Amino acid sequence: MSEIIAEKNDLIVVENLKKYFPIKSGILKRTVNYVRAVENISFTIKEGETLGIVGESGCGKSTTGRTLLRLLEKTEGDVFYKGRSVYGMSKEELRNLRTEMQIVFQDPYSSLNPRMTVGEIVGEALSEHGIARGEKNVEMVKDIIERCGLAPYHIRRYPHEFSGGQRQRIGIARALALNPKFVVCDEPVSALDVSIQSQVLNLLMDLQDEMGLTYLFISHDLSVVKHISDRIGVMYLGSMVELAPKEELYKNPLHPYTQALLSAIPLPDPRNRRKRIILKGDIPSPANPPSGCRFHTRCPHVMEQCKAEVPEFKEAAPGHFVACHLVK
Amino acid sequence: MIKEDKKKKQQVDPNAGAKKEDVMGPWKIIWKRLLKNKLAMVGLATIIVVALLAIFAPYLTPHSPSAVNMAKTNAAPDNVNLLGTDDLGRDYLTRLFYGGRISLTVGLVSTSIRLLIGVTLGGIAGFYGKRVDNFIMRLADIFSCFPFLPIAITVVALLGPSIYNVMLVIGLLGWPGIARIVRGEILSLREREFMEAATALGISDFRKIMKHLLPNTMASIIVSATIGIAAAILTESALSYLGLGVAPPTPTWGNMLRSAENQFTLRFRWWLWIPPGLAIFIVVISLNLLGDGLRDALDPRLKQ
Amino acid sequence: MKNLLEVKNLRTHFYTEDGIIPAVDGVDFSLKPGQTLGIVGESGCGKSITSMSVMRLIPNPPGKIVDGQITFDDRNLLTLSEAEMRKIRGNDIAMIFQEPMTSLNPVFTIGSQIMEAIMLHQKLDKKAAREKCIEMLNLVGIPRAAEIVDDYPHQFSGGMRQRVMIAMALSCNPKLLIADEPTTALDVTIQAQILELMKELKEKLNTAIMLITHDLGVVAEMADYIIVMYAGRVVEEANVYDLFEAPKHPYTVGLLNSKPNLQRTADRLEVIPGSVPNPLAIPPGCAFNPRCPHVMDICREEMPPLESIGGERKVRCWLHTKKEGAK
Repeated sequence: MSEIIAEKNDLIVVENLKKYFPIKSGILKRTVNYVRAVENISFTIKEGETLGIVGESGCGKSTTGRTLLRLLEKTEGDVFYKGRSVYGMSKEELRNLRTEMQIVFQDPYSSLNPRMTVGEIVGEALSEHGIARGEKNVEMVKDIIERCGLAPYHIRRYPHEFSGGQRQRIGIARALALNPKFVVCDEPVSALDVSIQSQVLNLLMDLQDEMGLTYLFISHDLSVVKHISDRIGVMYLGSMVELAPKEELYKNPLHPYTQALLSAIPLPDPRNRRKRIILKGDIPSPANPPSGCRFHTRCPHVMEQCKAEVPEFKEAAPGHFVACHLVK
Repeated sequence: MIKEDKKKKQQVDPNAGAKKEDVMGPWKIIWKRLLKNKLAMVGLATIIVVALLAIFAPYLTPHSPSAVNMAKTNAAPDNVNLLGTDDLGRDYLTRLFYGGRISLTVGLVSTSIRLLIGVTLGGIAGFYGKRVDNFIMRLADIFSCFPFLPIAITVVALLGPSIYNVMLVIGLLGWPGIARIVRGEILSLREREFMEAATALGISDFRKIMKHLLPNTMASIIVSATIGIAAAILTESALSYLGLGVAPPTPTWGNMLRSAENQFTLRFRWWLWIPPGLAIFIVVISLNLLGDGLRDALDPRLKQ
Repeated sequence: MKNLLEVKNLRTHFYTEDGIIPAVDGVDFSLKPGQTLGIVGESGCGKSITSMSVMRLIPNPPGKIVDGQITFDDRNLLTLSEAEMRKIRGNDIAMIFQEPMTSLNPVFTIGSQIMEAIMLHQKLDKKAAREKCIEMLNLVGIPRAAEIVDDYPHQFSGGMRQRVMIAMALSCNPKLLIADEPTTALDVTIQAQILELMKELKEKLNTAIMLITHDLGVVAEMADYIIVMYAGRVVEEANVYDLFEAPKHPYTVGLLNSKPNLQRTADRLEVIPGSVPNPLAIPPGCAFNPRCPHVMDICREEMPPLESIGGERKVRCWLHTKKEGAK
């Protein structure tokens, strides 16, 4: 199905990943249908790179991130980390893997336990995994929160004493305390004010340099994704429709959805009020996705073929993958 | 791994260094809010006073609660017996203090039993969900379908009236309420991102429950326990009044009220039934005021 | 042309347990008929409170408009009775909010909710109101309007609900539409639809719009004139072209530079250090001074005035204002 071939420096390889959520109904809680959150996606992430995933609500980008980390169980397909299947691991192996793969969340409020101090939040995993206890734990926590732009004495404070941006730094410190290799950033700046967004983005990029991190950066904001990523994948309704290096994607978008998405962003440039590509209608429900190409209900270039056949996700130019019948 | 030169980049703390030790924990904030609630503080103060009176009863009165004085029965209050005496000539004020010991103990112990069962089962149901949850919650339904008084009467009739049986019955029959509260809280907490973070960090289930979930349900547990103590005291009084609770000669507010069964006492010996009735009333209303105050203090959940 | 709305020295304060929050602290601006005014700022800068003050919808307690003048169509809104104000709300000034779900009542059909406003303000009978309602739904691009009037809000998607809100807001031909983050909760492609719709309707109906948003892209797209707010005050005022071409206030400059730009690539984003001040402890002098890269002594001591720097531009910054005698 997919043409994506694992290479040597691929840290993460995702193969035909599917994730369906059952919709239960009635007294007996029988499964009546599925939300097809992620439908057959494949991609790889190279060591040290940032892969951005953009898409609108319900496109399955967050589910992809969580299924990659096995915070959610997959429905089909597989995920490989350094060549080992994440889904083939035992409970103990998976627990050890947690020190290498981490996640930063969107909501700086709900992602921190209000009853724990910053020191406990950041240091908990270090003691759970037997990496550092007692004095050493405190030292390591102080070090990491300082690197995330907080002050060492903050470890005794509770999350409610911090602003949204600072809380996000705590969340980043928690994820990085274990010195992971791979971090899923799930909309880490979407809940923050513009001036704070840039601080957090810079921090994430600095830490990537310092610690040699590999990111999967999920966002609905194309300008943010473009800034931080090396390559970008565009998702629509559970499928990946296009994947390309960022400059290529912005200069030469091949999929009509990517084109519309790019054109829809309001630019901070009043002299350049463009004629936009306005997509008609709403995003269909992932519980009942359209046949064939899932985008065909809104596509300005829809053909008969699109309604019947799912387009193949193929390489249109070197490193530039797209799933569209228009691209030969 | 660490580059020292980058270490002090963009410190974003606006008041770094300042007020270092001024750490406001979540509980401290709740306490501060509670301090502002006058009614709750009145309730709390009353309960503390009543508890002190009960605990230090032996030092507060020269009489013994069971010292019979047939020469002075049913006497009206005077200088020696500040609240008069009962039909066996025992000092009524002394019995009221000692009765408080029993009532408060019953309230505390039976609520502890309820909490122990309720929090454990509710926690398990909420955390593991699915079948376990279904089983425990149906069990809770069954328990809450039992008519309380008939069951209590039957149990006490079988095992004999004693303070322990009363506490056990109240505790064993009362857990479903707490279990439901804890389960509900845990179900919603489980969906919060910090629980997902805990999973991603490889935190064990035990620690997740003890460190992440239960501390966050504490607030509602405390509220419901406070009001639960009041309910338990009322139940004990009711059972004792019916003669199914604590057996005489041990005084409790409930069995002291029994004297009011007598028409003559009711009409002419007010000191035999108004004080225990008032004691129950005051303690129960104080606990409820405190419980309401706690609810308000805990409600606007640590925003900001 | 005469001003449709003139706000002078508006002060709205909130009295909380911890102290007085000067959410809006001396805001002036004006709006001409048919003009679109963008109010930009980050959370807590007072942009929403300003619009709520114009509608006189500040919850009291804890909030109170303590000073100022809001002149709409030659009437001072702050001296009107609640009954007179109700005639203006929804009729002369309409409002749409960020979250369309919470602003629609879930137990009534959308038709009845739109008709209610029409019947109240335009004194139409039920039949005429229904026709007007369907006409409005058609106008905002809702397909099968005649069938859909009897549906409930939960049957609509977010974008459709926002269209319904716009239909409701415009049903009485208001002179002023206040749009408070109208597209923030929507997806990018849906946002594009709604912005396009607002632009079209503005042309058609010549409604003045007060657009409140944190998104610089959205104001660049929509507004004629922009005011930038920080900590309850206007820090810069300019027409849209001047503002984006040559921002004057360091905060505006920082805001524009800190947003990643699709058109150019940068390795590092420029950053405004620190965070928005605690509203209970706004720093003395210029509120932006702790975060400002060009801070001078005077900035810590004295609040700069909002002064005209030629044309219709105004800025509140000592860098651009001559200090008389520099007290």
